[in-house]
Amino acid sequence: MGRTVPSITLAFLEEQDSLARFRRALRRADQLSLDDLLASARQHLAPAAHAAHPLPFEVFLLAMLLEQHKEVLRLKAVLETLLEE
Amino acid sequence: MNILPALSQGRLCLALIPPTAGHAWLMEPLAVLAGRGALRVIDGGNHFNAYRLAKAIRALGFDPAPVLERVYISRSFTCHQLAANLALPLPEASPLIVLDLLATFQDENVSLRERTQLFATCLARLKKIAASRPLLITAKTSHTEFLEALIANSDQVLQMEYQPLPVALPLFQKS
Repeated sequence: MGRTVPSITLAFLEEQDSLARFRRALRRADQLSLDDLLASARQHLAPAAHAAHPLPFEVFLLAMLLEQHKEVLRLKAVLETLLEE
Repeated sequence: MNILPALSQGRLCLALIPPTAGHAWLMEPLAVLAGRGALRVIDGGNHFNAYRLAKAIRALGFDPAPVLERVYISRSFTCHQLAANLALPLPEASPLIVLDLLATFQDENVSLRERTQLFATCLARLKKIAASRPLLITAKTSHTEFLEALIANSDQVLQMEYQPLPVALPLFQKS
Protein backbone atom coordinates (compact mmCIF):
# COMPACT_ATOMS: atom_id res chain seq x y z
CA MET A 1 0.00 0.00 0.00
CA GLY A 2 1.21 3.47 -0.85
CA ARG A 3 4.50 4.61 -2.33
CA THR A 4 7.82 5.16 -0.62
CA VAL A 5 8.35 8.28 -2.72
CA PRO A 6 6.02 10.31 -4.94
CA SER A 7 5.95 9.20 -8.59
CA ILE A 8 8.57 10.73 -10.87
CA THR A 9 5.84 12.60 -12.78
CA LEU A 10 4.67 14.22 -9.54
CA ALA A 11 8.27 15.07 -8.63
CA PHE A 12 8.72 16.62 -12.08
CA LEU A 13 5.54 18.67 -11.79
CA GLU A 14 6.63 19.86 -8.34
CA GLU A 15 10.00 20.96 -9.71
CA GLN A 16 8.25 22.66 -12.62
CA ASP A 17 5.94 24.50 -10.20
CA SER A 18 8.92 25.63 -8.14
CA LEU A 19 10.26 27.34 -11.27
CA ALA A 20 7.00 29.20 -11.92
CA ARG A 21 8.18 32.49 -10.38
CA PHE A 22 11.48 32.28 -12.27
CA ARG A 23 9.58 31.61 -15.49
CA ARG A 24 7.28 34.57 -14.89
CA ALA A 25 10.28 36.90 -14.60
CA LEU A 26 11.75 35.80 -17.95
CA ARG A 27 11.13 37.44 -21.30
CA ARG A 28 8.58 35.72 -23.50
CA ALA A 29 11.23 34.22 -25.82
CA ASP A 30 13.18 32.90 -22.83
CA GLN A 31 9.99 31.48 -21.33
CA LEU A 32 9.48 29.46 -24.51
CA SER A 33 13.10 28.25 -24.37
CA LEU A 34 12.62 27.19 -20.75
CA ASP A 35 9.43 25.36 -21.71
CA ASP A 36 11.43 23.55 -24.41
CA LEU A 37 14.06 22.54 -21.87
CA LEU A 38 11.45 21.22 -19.48
CA ALA A 39 9.73 19.37 -22.32
CA SER A 40 13.04 17.73 -23.21
CA ALA A 41 13.42 16.57 -19.60
CA ARG A 42 9.87 15.23 -19.63
CA GLN A 43 10.83 12.88 -22.47
CA HIS A 44 13.11 11.02 -20.06
CA LEU A 45 10.82 10.53 -17.10
CA ALA A 46 10.91 6.73 -17.35
CA PRO A 47 14.74 6.54 -17.13
CA ALA A 48 14.62 9.17 -14.37
CA ALA A 49 12.21 6.97 -12.41
CA HIS A 50 14.52 4.01 -12.94
CA ALA A 51 17.47 6.05 -11.62
CA ALA A 52 15.65 6.46 -8.26
CA HIS A 53 17.92 9.39 -7.42
CA PRO A 54 17.24 11.15 -4.09
CA LEU A 55 17.42 14.49 -5.92
CA PRO A 56 15.43 13.96 -9.13
CA PHE A 57 16.05 17.51 -10.36
CA GLU A 58 19.69 16.56 -10.97
CA VAL A 59 18.49 13.78 -13.27
CA PHE A 60 16.11 16.19 -15.01
CA LEU A 61 19.03 18.58 -15.61
CA LEU A 62 21.05 15.71 -17.07
CA ALA A 63 18.11 14.80 -19.30
CA MET A 64 18.01 18.41 -20.57
CA LEU A 65 21.76 18.28 -21.19
CA LEU A 66 21.35 14.98 -23.03
CA GLU A 67 18.80 16.49 -25.39
CA GLN A 68 21.03 19.53 -25.91
CA HIS A 69 23.97 17.28 -26.74
CA LYS A 70 21.87 15.27 -29.19
CA GLU A 71 20.94 18.52 -30.88
CA VAL A 72 24.60 19.62 -31.03
CA LEU A 73 25.57 16.27 -32.59
CA ARG A 74 22.74 16.55 -35.12
CA LEU A 75 23.74 20.10 -36.09
CA LYS A 76 27.41 19.03 -36.31
CA ALA A 77 26.46 16.26 -38.72
CA VAL A 78 24.43 18.72 -40.82
CA LEU A 79 27.34 21.19 -40.86
CA GLU A 80 29.82 18.51 -41.92
CA THR A 81 27.50 17.47 -44.76
CA LEU A 82 27.21 21.07 -45.92
CA LEU A 83 30.99 21.59 -45.78
CA GLU A 84 31.57 18.43 -47.84
CA GLU A 85 29.24 19.69 -50.57
CA MET B 1 9.01 26.80 13.24
CA ASN B 2 12.19 25.48 14.89
CA ILE B 3 11.12 22.44 16.87
CA LEU B 4 14.57 21.09 17.67
CA PRO B 5 14.99 22.91 21.03
CA ALA B 6 11.62 21.48 22.13
CA LEU B 7 12.66 17.91 21.40
CA SER B 8 14.13 16.27 24.45
CA GLN B 9 13.99 12.90 26.13
CA GLY B 10 11.17 12.39 28.62
CA ARG B 11 8.80 14.92 27.04
CA LEU B 12 5.90 14.26 24.73
CA CYS B 13 6.05 17.14 22.29
CA LEU B 14 3.02 17.92 20.13
CA ALA B 15 2.96 20.26 17.13
CA LEU B 16 -0.49 21.44 16.09
CA ILE B 17 -0.71 22.37 12.45
CA PRO B 18 -3.49 24.12 10.51
CA PRO B 19 -5.62 21.90 8.25
CA THR B 20 -4.26 23.34 5.00
CA ALA B 21 -0.59 23.37 6.02
CA GLY B 22 1.63 20.53 4.88
CA HIS B 23 4.73 19.12 6.52
CA ALA B 24 7.31 20.94 4.38
CA TRP B 25 8.34 23.04 7.45
CA LEU B 26 9.38 19.83 9.21
CA MET B 27 11.89 18.73 6.57
CA GLU B 28 14.75 20.92 7.78
CA PRO B 29 14.55 19.73 11.43
CA LEU B 30 14.21 16.14 10.15
CA ALA B 31 17.32 16.62 8.01
CA VAL B 32 19.24 17.89 11.07
CA LEU B 33 18.09 14.89 13.14
CA ALA B 34 18.92 12.42 10.34
CA GLY B 35 22.34 14.05 10.02
CA ARG B 36 23.00 13.22 13.68
CA GLY B 37 21.98 9.56 13.51
CA ALA B 38 19.14 7.10 13.04
CA LEU B 39 15.64 8.55 12.83
CA ARG B 40 12.30 6.79 12.87
CA VAL B 41 9.22 8.33 11.24
CA ILE B 42 5.70 6.95 11.53
CA ASP B 43 3.49 8.56 8.94
CA GLY B 44 -0.20 8.53 9.81
CA GLY B 45 -1.42 10.85 7.07
CA ASN B 46 0.77 9.87 4.09
CA HIS B 47 2.56 13.23 4.28
CA PHE B 48 6.20 12.17 4.22
CA ASN B 49 8.01 13.24 1.05
CA ALA B 50 11.49 11.73 0.81
CA TYR B 51 12.45 14.03 -2.08
CA ARG B 52 11.86 17.13 0.07
CA LEU B 53 13.88 15.58 2.88
CA ALA B 54 16.70 14.80 0.41
CA LYS B 55 16.69 18.47 -0.67
CA ALA B 56 16.83 19.63 2.95
CA ILE B 57 19.74 17.25 3.63
CA ARG B 58 21.61 18.58 0.59
CA ALA B 59 20.93 22.16 1.77
CA LEU B 60 22.71 21.30 5.03
CA GLY B 61 25.73 20.18 3.01
CA PHE B 62 25.35 16.41 3.47
CA ASP B 63 25.25 13.73 0.80
CA PRO B 64 21.54 12.72 0.82
CA ALA B 65 21.97 8.99 0.05
CA PRO B 66 23.86 7.86 3.22
CA VAL B 67 21.79 10.16 5.45
CA LEU B 68 18.51 8.84 4.00
CA GLU B 69 19.75 5.31 4.81
CA ARG B 70 19.38 6.22 8.47
CA VAL B 71 15.73 7.28 8.16
CA TYR B 72 13.28 4.47 8.88
CA ILE B 73 9.76 5.24 7.76
CA SER B 74 6.55 3.32 8.42
CA ARG B 75 3.25 4.39 6.91
CA SER B 76 -0.03 3.69 8.64
CA PHE B 77 -3.30 3.73 6.75
CA THR B 78 -5.55 2.56 9.60
CA CYS B 79 -5.53 3.16 13.35
CA HIS B 80 -4.77 -0.55 13.85
CA GLN B 81 -1.63 -0.21 11.70
CA LEU B 82 -0.64 2.89 13.65
CA ALA B 83 -0.95 1.06 16.95
CA ALA B 84 1.06 -1.85 15.52
CA ASN B 85 3.77 0.52 14.21
CA LEU B 86 4.10 2.12 17.64
CA ALA B 87 4.70 -1.33 19.12
CA LEU B 88 7.63 -2.05 16.77
CA PRO B 89 11.11 -2.03 18.33
CA LEU B 90 12.99 1.22 17.71
CA PRO B 91 16.67 1.80 16.93
CA GLU B 92 18.67 2.61 20.06
CA ALA B 93 17.89 6.13 21.40
CA SER B 94 16.83 7.41 17.97
CA PRO B 95 14.22 10.19 17.88
CA LEU B 96 10.72 9.25 16.80
CA ILE B 97 8.50 11.53 14.72
CA VAL B 98 4.82 10.68 14.31
CA LEU B 99 3.22 12.59 11.46
CA ASP B 100 -0.50 13.38 11.59
CA LEU B 101 -1.24 11.00 14.44
CA LEU B 102 -4.98 11.62 14.48
CA ALA B 103 -5.65 11.17 10.74
CA THR B 104 -6.28 7.43 10.96
CA PHE B 105 -8.48 7.91 14.03
CA GLN B 106 -11.05 9.88 12.01
CA ASP B 107 -12.06 6.70 10.14
CA GLU B 108 -15.79 6.20 10.65
CA ASN B 109 -15.56 2.61 9.40
CA VAL B 110 -14.00 1.75 12.75
CA SER B 111 -16.39 1.99 15.69
CA LEU B 112 -15.84 4.85 18.13
CA ARG B 113 -15.41 2.38 21.00
CA GLU B 114 -12.62 0.58 19.10
CA ARG B 115 -10.95 3.84 18.11
CA THR B 116 -11.10 5.11 21.68
CA GLN B 117 -9.53 1.89 22.89
CA LEU B 118 -6.80 2.03 20.22
CA PHE B 119 -6.13 5.68 20.94
CA ALA B 120 -5.61 4.90 24.62
CA THR B 121 -3.22 2.09 23.64
CA CYS B 122 -1.31 4.41 21.31
CA LEU B 123 -1.12 7.14 23.94
CA ALA B 124 0.28 4.70 26.51
CA ARG B 125 2.87 3.49 23.99
CA LEU B 126 3.80 7.05 23.06
CA LYS B 127 4.33 7.99 26.70
CA LYS B 128 6.55 4.95 27.16
CA ILE B 129 8.53 5.85 24.02
CA ALA B 130 8.84 9.51 25.11
CA ALA B 131 10.50 8.39 28.33
CA SER B 132 13.42 6.88 26.44
CA ARG B 133 13.93 9.15 23.41
CA PRO B 134 12.93 12.50 21.86
CA LEU B 135 9.42 12.26 20.45
CA LEU B 136 7.50 14.67 18.26
CA ILE B 137 3.89 14.20 17.24
CA THR B 138 2.13 16.34 14.68
CA ALA B 139 -1.65 16.66 14.52
CA LYS B 140 -3.95 18.71 12.36
CA THR B 141 -6.32 20.99 14.21
CA SER B 142 -9.15 19.89 11.90
CA HIS B 143 -8.96 16.34 13.31
CA THR B 144 -11.08 17.20 16.31
CA GLU B 145 -11.76 13.70 17.60
CA PHE B 146 -9.23 12.83 20.31
CA LEU B 147 -7.43 16.17 19.84
CA GLU B 148 -8.27 17.44 23.32
CA ALA B 149 -7.11 14.18 24.90
CA LEU B 150 -3.87 14.35 22.93
CA ILE B 151 -3.22 17.96 24.00
CA ALA B 152 -4.01 17.09 27.63
CA ASN B 153 -1.48 14.24 27.57
CA SER B 154 1.30 16.24 25.90
CA ASP B 155 4.11 17.84 27.91
CA GLN B 156 4.63 20.59 25.37
CA VAL B 157 2.27 21.89 22.69
CA LEU B 158 3.55 23.97 19.79
CA GLN B 159 1.03 25.80 17.64
CA MET B 160 1.94 26.49 14.05
CA GLU B 161 0.53 29.66 12.57
CA TYR B 162 -0.92 29.48 9.11
CA GLN B 163 0.89 31.70 6.63
CA PRO B 164 -0.71 31.57 3.20
CA LEU B 165 1.60 31.80 0.20
CA PRO B 166 1.70 35.23 -1.48
CA VAL B 167 -0.67 35.37 -4.40
CA ALA B 168 0.45 37.08 -7.61
CA LEU B 169 -2.24 39.58 -8.50
CA PRO B 170 -3.25 39.87 -12.16
CA LEU B 171 -1.91 42.99 -13.88
CA PHE B 172 -5.09 43.59 -15.81
CA GLN B 173 -8.67 42.92 -14.91
CA LYS B 174 -10.36 40.55 -17.35
CA SER B 175 -13.50 42.11 -18.79
